[in-house]
Amino acid sequence: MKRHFHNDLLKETFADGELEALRETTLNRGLAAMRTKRRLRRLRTGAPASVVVLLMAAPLYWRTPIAPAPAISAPKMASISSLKIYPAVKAADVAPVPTISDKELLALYANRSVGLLGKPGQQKLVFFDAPVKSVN
Amino acid sequence: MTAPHDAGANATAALTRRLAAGDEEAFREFHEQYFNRLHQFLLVVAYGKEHEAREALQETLVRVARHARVFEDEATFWCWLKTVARNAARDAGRKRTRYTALLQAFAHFTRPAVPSAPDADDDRLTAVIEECLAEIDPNDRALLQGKYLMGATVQELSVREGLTPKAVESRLLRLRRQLRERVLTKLRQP
Repeated sequence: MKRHFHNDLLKETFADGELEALRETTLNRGLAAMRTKRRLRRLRTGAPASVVVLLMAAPLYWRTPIAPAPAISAPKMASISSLKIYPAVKAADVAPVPTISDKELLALYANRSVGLLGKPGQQKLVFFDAPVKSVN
Repeated sequence: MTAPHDAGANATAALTRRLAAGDEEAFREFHEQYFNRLHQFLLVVAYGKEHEAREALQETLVRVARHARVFEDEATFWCWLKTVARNAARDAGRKRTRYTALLQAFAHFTRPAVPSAPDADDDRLTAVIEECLAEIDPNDRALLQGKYLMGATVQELSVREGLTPKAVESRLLRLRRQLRERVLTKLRQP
């Protein structure tokens, strides 16, 4: 009876909000530990059975002749290393366009009826013997 | 007919068996039954340092959940729980300050070993409470005994003391606070 008296007295003497929070926390942590323990136990009991099944199935797998798989020509992706990288064309590498005078241009079409029309610098080469397109 | 001792032993065996099997309901029961008892025990082990006792209590309960075994009787189970609690308190202390642990180990090494009785910590708390109760005012002691030993209600105590129930509750609260301080102070003494 005296022990009971001490226990009750101590219980209420040391009871406070912090202890109640600890009670809740420890209960939850303990329950989580129990769950982990059960999971580990299941794994431990399940793992040997899985290993036995795998060991039994392994010879069957290796003895079965494996037919060659039909060749499927999958489009091959070029690897980055195999891609050719073209260098940028420099302006200096291109041959310069030759410039000719008006006379030289007209001389190229000596056997045709041609003329240069328009202001200097914006002139167009016109062939007078070319068939006229019908408007309609 | 089953003797009460056998019934208790059977209950402990059943509880610990379920704990060992990872039964969550068993852990709830265990927690309900042993939380306060372990807390009080750890207060003694931690020399009245409440923070350390609570830290160790948390670790103890988790260890019990992880490593519970089957025990055939309550006394053996309680001995095991005390060992787990002591180890948890020691490990927490070691983690807290390795330097202090080193000094303690050195002190243990240099001091002749004195084997402590298995129930020394349990008895120490009882002795401390008895001492504290003996030191307080006889009227206050009578009030505490009336509430916790005789199981009187606040209403009954208020009639006996000629006070309002609220005044009795306030007085009990004040007495419990005083007692708590006294107990912790005594536990801190070597």
